[in-house]
Amino acid sequence: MEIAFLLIPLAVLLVFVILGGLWWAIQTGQFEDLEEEGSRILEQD
Amino acid sequence: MVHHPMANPLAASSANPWQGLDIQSEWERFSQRDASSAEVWTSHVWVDNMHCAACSGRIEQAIKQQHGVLAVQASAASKRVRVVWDAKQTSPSHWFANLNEIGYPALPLNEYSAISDRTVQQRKMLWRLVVAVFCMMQVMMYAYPTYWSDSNDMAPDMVQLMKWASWVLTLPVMLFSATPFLSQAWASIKQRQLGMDVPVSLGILAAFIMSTLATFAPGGWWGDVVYYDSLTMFVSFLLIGRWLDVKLRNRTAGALENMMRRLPHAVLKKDAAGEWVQIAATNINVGDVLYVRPGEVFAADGLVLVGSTSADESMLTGESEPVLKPAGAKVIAGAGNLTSAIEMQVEQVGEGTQYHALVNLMASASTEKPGIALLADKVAQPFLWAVLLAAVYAVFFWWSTDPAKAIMSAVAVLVVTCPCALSLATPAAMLASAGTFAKGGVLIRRLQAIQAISEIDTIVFDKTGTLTENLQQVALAESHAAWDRQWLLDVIASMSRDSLHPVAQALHGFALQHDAQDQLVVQDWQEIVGGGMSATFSAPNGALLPVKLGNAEFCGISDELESDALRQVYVTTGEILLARLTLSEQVKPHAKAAISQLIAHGLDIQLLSGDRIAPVKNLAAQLGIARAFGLQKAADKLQHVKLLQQQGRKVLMVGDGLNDGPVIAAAHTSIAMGSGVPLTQAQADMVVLGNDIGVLVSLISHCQKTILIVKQNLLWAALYNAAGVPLAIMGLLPAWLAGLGMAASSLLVLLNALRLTDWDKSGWQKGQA
Repeated sequence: MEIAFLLIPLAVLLVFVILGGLWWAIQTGQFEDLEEEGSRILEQD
Repeated sequence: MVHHPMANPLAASSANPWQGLDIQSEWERFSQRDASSAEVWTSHVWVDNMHCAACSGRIEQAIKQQHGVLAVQASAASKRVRVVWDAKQTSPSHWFANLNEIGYPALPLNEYSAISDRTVQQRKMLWRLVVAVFCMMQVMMYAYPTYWSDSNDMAPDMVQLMKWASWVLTLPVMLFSATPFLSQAWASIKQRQLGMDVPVSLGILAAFIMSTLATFAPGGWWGDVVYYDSLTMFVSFLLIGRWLDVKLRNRTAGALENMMRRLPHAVLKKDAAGEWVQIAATNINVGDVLYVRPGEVFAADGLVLVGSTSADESMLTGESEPVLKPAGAKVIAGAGNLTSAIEMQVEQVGEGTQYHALVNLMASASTEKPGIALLADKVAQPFLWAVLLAAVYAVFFWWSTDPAKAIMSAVAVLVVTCPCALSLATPAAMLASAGTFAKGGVLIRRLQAIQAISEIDTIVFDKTGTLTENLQQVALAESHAAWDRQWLLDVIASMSRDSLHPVAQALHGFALQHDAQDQLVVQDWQEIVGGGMSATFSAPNGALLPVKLGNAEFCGISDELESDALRQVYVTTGEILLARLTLSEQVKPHAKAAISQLIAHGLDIQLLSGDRIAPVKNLAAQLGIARAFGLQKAADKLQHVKLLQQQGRKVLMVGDGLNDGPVIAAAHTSIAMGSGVPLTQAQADMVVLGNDIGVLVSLISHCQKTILIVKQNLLWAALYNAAGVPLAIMGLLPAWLAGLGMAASSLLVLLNALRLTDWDKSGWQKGQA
């Protein structure tokens, strides 16, 4: 069971990484427009 | 047809029509200054005909061409374009003109900052909820082993590690998710009031402090039990309620702003040199001469100077027919110019206009309403005090024997009394109903409306658009026997084809339905505002025939027949009456059944209308309504409702026009039918989308059912507290059981509320009090 002493802190760290990642994604507007960006590559410049 | 002497004023000024936007005060309304530079602005505009990715691409290209535009982002999904531009190098009119050139006319999104503020608020609440729930799940995983294991099963340092992990995971919940409760509790304490948030916050803080001490300094008088699981679960449950509440309020909040946008942004003003220039509507002064084209809205109160027209004042005065406006007549801001272009002299602007007076009237009428929310808070106060006293009592009772047990018992009281179940009891049921209603096409603006509607004993209906269709029903009452009936219908169709008047449009539709052709050769067609139309036709025998179509006075009919119809229209040639048509209002399909059901359930139904008395009485008789009142202006209706309220009645107002706005705001509660104008929707407590009046019956009965479930929930919470508090004070309730009890009672309340998601829209719901 010694491995739990490593895994539990890792799991806690992972929670913060996930929350931080989600926070970053929302703040930088990754979810602002789900339709448009996919078709942007098809447009001519 | 009134001919206006002036050519297109835009051509005369040869200016960019968007020039009005180039004033900073004007562009500030749809732009935000960039944080980095004072000259860089971010604007949001609305392009209505942007439908696809190709459109948005072209739009971005067109705006980018403009020198000084730094970035463009067009989204076809939301029909919005975001433009970042430098005020030193370009101005909005330039890129607005670019958009116009490629066929995508844009509108400034004036309310953008308000919308984005609301979205930000809602998203922040959701984000708090996500953090709380996510952390709660992790904390639960570390709490789970301690629930089921014996104290000897796990190594002490493993238990300690799990406590530390739980503490770290609880930090975001305390510091971020729970802040609304903590800050609101603090605010209410500063105002020397005891809100629902105070015990909630005390419970959160006490549990957190005790758990923290137990984690980092176990073995003190505070013991070594941690409550992180109860704490995070508690906060998550509470946040779900808050988030749903914010979401619901935002959905309808935009409506008032829409109404304020009714006035134009820019107008054409005659300058000193006699030229027409475009200025921002905010810069209109008393005495200015403005040019108003048909289809536009008057930006200010004033007098018609040149030309004559008719105006649609229905939103402001309740007058459903166009009002004739010859030279010298008064026009009001917010009314629509219907038939022809005029010049007007401004007499009143902004705050002084009737339009603003009406908007203010609505605002003040709505603040007079008793706040049911405040009332509920007051009723809850004694309970909240009792909870706090019980907690304090527990501390005193145990302190001398065992300080740890004292604090733990107090926390157990705070946790077990579960302001959660109590504070969820009402909103959970109401939100469940609100969600159900929303799916069924009924939007709720204030949750308290559910309670208000369950208590009403009188319903006051507005007529047009509520009980009747907005469309007018036409019938050919008589036609001259010597003339071919089909030819007469052709004449009616051809004459009414080019008029915008609602009656003419109803006639046109009627004639076409009866296989008429509207392609007869029409000569000398003229429309006389407030009278009718005249034209010359070639009769079937080849003779030229001058025909008039209009009201009795216009057609020279002196002995107009009495009729229940709303209005009669005549077709004459010379002295000969060719045809008589009646226009009447059509009762909505389910109106009669709905009214009789409402009466059967003991509600007093009344009808108020601005129309003539005879048709109103006639309609009332048709529907079985005993009390009907015609010729009611907005002020009369308000008076009537206030009188009913003085008699101690609880009045539900069902209306749809803006003239009902003050009445809707003053009534105990109100429902707007969906074809109403946005402002009324914003003021009414509920909005029924679609035109089905039958929904009303099941709506009222579902509201009563909701309140019944609220009462059950409150009763359950009260019983649970009555049992739990003594046990907690006596120290017989372990902390985990208190937490479990809290969760179970909340769950029961939520499950009970879920019964409300089933809404049978067909008539009065059976099987309830």
